[in-house]
Amino acid sequence: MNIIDRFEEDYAVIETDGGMINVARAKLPENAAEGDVLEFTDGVWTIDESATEERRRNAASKLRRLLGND
Amino acid sequence: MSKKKKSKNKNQTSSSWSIFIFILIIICSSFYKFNHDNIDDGGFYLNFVDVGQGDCELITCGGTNVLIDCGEDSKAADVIAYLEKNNVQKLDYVVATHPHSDHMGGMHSIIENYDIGEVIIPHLPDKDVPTTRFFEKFLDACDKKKTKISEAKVGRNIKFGGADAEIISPNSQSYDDVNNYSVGLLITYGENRFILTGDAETVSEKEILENGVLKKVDVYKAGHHGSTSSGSKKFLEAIQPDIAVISCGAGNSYGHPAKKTLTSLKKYTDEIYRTDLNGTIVVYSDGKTVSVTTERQGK
Repeated sequence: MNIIDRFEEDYAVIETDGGMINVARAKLPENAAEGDVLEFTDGVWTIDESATEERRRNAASKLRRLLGND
Repeated sequence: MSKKKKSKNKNQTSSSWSIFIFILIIICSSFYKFNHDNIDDGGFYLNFVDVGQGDCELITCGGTNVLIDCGEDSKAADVIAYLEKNNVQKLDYVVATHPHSDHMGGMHSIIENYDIGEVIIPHLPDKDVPTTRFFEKFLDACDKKKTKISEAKVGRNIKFGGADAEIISPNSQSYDDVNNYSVGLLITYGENRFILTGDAETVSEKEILENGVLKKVDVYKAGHHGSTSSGSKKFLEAIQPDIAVISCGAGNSYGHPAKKTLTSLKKYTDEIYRTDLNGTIVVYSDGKTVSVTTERQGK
């Protein structure tokens, strides 16, 4: 699974199964944002919006529970 | 008055004076101890641990251990080795300044391996809660260990042994850039001050300035690894650092620290240390003076 951790200068820093990698921003969809789950197929990066939304929802729910804010 | 009565009165007066002087000595000793407790506790150590491209600071003071960030997941073993080398067996506080991998990628390992008094993180609105697996592992580790986790509150003062740490950021509930959620700390130990702001950028620095909490500091960790996104002119004017420390990786892909940052810092100090050149940097304060030792000389 590939997830955008952050952007640094001209790069997106992406969490992959093998660790963190830098990918030139220009190679990602223009609307790519921090936290997006990405697919990499045939040399093309695309955003998996439903996976992004699900991971965010689950993480937020877990965080609120641990903070006692649920 | 008879001689006996005169003698008795003289003895009573003498005793009263003795008691008064004794009480005065007790009061003065207590006052001295109160003002010098922090100087007698072995001093304040602020370790900037070399974690490559990332941040990790270990504070040890009077038996209290505080870890601020821990770098990437790939550096967790190095951080743990450093903690062991410094005989750290428990962490009273862990501050995860903000949820980027170069600051808390390895935090799950820290949680798994140590008893922790409290983890402090910034408030994150749902839109900015990370989807990354390292963050998920961090949450799961806290869940499993039943770790106390709380959100940073600006204005909160925390005792790090004999040092006082004030949380100075984040000041807003929502930001466009996650870096601005960075938990910032202004730490005082005796007459010395230290400021750590994670990756807080000029937006957050402006808020900190507006709160009027900034003072001249002895040591400033350059924000965001010395990127031009941090360390505004007004911010540096307010803190006028005597010593600057930049935490970044050798040959990093992002050009950290920026030349412009180095130029700005040199207006205030020539004592600029960098983990990419100097390795781990240890700052020591006895409450009056600050000294620095480095793993490597570097240039």
